[in-house]
Amino acid sequence: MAYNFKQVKVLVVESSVPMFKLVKGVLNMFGVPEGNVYAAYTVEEAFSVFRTQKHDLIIADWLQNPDRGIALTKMIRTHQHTPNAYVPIIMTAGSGHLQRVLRARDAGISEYLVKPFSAKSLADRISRVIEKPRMFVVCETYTGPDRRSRSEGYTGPERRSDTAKLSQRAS
Amino acid sequence: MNNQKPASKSKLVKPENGLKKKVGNGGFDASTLNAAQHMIENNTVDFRPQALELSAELGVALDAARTAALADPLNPLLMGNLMYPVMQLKAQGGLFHYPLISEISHIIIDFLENIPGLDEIVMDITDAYRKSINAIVSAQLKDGNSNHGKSLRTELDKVCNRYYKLKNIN
Repeated sequence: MAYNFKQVKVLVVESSVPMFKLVKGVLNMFGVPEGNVYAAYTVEEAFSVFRTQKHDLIIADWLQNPDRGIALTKMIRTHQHTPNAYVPIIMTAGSGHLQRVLRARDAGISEYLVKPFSAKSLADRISRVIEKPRMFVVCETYTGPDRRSRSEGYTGPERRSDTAKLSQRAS
Repeated sequence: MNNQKPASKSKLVKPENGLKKKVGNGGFDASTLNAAQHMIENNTVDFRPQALELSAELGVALDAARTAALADPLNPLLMGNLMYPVMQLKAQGGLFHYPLISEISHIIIDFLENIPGLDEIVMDITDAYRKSINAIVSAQLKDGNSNHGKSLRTELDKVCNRYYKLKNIN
């Protein structure tokens, strides 16, 4: 048995109609019904549709400068009228540059997907938000999935190793 | 007197996994993924009008940047205005049957993401890329592995590397 997306509502925030149609087509192939995939092309439109439809998943492009996709993510996570601050957000963008991914992560996205993408890579991101949702951190400066869970681990000196002790003494 | 800032009030929340409740178990089966991939690969979108629109948008951003960057070469807004159409060209070119556009856009994205700021040479390189996009669209050069495609990629790579050397960027 596979996932059943019949009850799932998805908001796709894209930069152009052909891109929306392509993402929608893929979601339809995954089993999301035609009428359950909603389009938005601006931050304001996206937030407004989200407030009324309370989607289960948001797939948002990086959007126009200045970083509208980032602004949308922050709005969904922190706005007083957000219907669900914890909704999974998959951000898509043409660049996978580390600084860009970190900025998206710091805004509160759940997953990041570089375009052009394959059906499998989109499915992988969706599977991750379904099967491995992260705890949320809520504080004054950040609301979003716990950013530590994806860290590369500690790369500094081992405090108990002799070398580290020597370098500490030297400094 | 205690000069310490008050501890920030952060909390960990475990949200209800509503998506999981709705979709159940089992993941995606291979035939679904194959069908979806087939749909992506066989879409019939004519990317040319959109590509030219994005190229024109890049042209406008370049014109604005040529003037403004003299005073403020590190302005992230100027860089962002250049990046946006290039990212779209990379994304959409790859999905709408213009892999060559996607590949050369990838080179320019790498370049723009790695340089510290804007100058005349950066703008010239980006403009050369923009003109290449227009040429690719008008000649309908889709194949990145054609001789034209290979030489275009190589030349763009070379010019970016020359800039890195000139500016001591690793």
